[in-house]
Amino acid sequence: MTRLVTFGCSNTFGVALPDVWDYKKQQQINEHGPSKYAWPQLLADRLNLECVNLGIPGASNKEIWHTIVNIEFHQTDIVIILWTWYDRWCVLDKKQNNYEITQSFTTHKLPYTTYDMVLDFYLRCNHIETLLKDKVKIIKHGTQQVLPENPQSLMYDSNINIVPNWNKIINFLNVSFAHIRLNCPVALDNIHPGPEAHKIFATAIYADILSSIEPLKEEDPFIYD
Amino acid sequence: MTRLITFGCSNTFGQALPDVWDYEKNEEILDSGPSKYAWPQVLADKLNLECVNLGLPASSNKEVWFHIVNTEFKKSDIVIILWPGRPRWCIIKDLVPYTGKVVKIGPFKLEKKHPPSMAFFKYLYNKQDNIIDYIMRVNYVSMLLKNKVKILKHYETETTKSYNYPNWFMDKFCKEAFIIDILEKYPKAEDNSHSGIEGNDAFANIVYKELC
Repeated sequence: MTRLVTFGCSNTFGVALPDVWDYKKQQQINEHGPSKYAWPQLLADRLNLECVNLGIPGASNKEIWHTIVNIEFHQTDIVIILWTWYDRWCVLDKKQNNYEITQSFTTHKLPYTTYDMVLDFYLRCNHIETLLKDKVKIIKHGTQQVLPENPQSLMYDSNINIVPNWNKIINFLNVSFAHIRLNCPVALDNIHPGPEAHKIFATAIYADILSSIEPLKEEDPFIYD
Repeated sequence: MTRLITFGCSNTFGQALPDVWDYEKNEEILDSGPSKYAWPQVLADKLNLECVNLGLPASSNKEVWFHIVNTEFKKSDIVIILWPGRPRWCIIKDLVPYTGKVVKIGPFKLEKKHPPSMAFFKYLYNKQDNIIDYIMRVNYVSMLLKNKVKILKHYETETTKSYNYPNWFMDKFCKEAFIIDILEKYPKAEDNSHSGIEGNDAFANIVYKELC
């Protein structure tokens, strides 16, 4: 069966959505897997695809990249990567066949420039794009950054809109989760996007990738069963 | 004219070779370009090519990668990269194409209590992590330059032969590594640390044989 394989951080995992929330302890449950209310499952349901949601709470772009390069893909996979904020980092430590991953925020540990982190992001997404180009059916990249239409936002940093001339990715999603979440109720932790934001985001991605999926209709008719 | 374009660290720049050494001050000269005794110029002379030696002293794999992605190549170029490999890093400062303005991070700065280097080694450096980052950059450069230059060869300063490469890493390093095959075998340069003229000649010969 064609799979929707998604990668990202807590906003892909669906942190603090009702089915991954411990109401008694008022805290997140991570150990039972991602939320069925998160955008990947909603999108997969809409497309009638198997959902493989590999979002990791707290993940940096480096950890997202590392997850992707260590996954086996099928030629029929539809891959959507919702890359995360630039100010995150992690350290990968190989222990025999497993990796121990220590998450961190660059701002806490090391002086950095936004530009440096933007370049790191473009390196990783271009590397993935080139690696997977002929190995999966569709690959789409999304970002969390606030787009230039909202330059007054405190989250806005003009450096994030610098695209290096060696960037080859043209298939970025033209929808921003950062914008959607600003206008929707938050999740149970009062931080992450709530169910409505995930629903709107899934609908927006659906519309965005519809043109890419349309050619699948004849080859994979079960998608539209 | 076909160009030989080389990237790397001080071992490519030719640090402490006679023409980039201040004998009065007993220190290297870094601001007048690379040495003509360094292996890139020796190799270019052997191949009768124009030499574009873009080696940068104290550079990390990250800085070498950044230099490469900001270089304009021609289809006829022969590109040789001697990856620095070592526990080094950099923070890229500029918002414009490559000007060399990076904060270099490495063990060589720890004596001076350089805060970014101290933070890097305290919190972020891990050997495995460094290798994964390294091979990602090598792999990316290979894919980026595929069909864009005539020849691309990757050499290592320190060998990663014993590392179990992940299956997405399809590239091959040329078998000789600069430290084992040159630095440890031949007389040192004026600083008694880098490779001297003989070692640079030997490395040029190794690459020459690989190319011809």
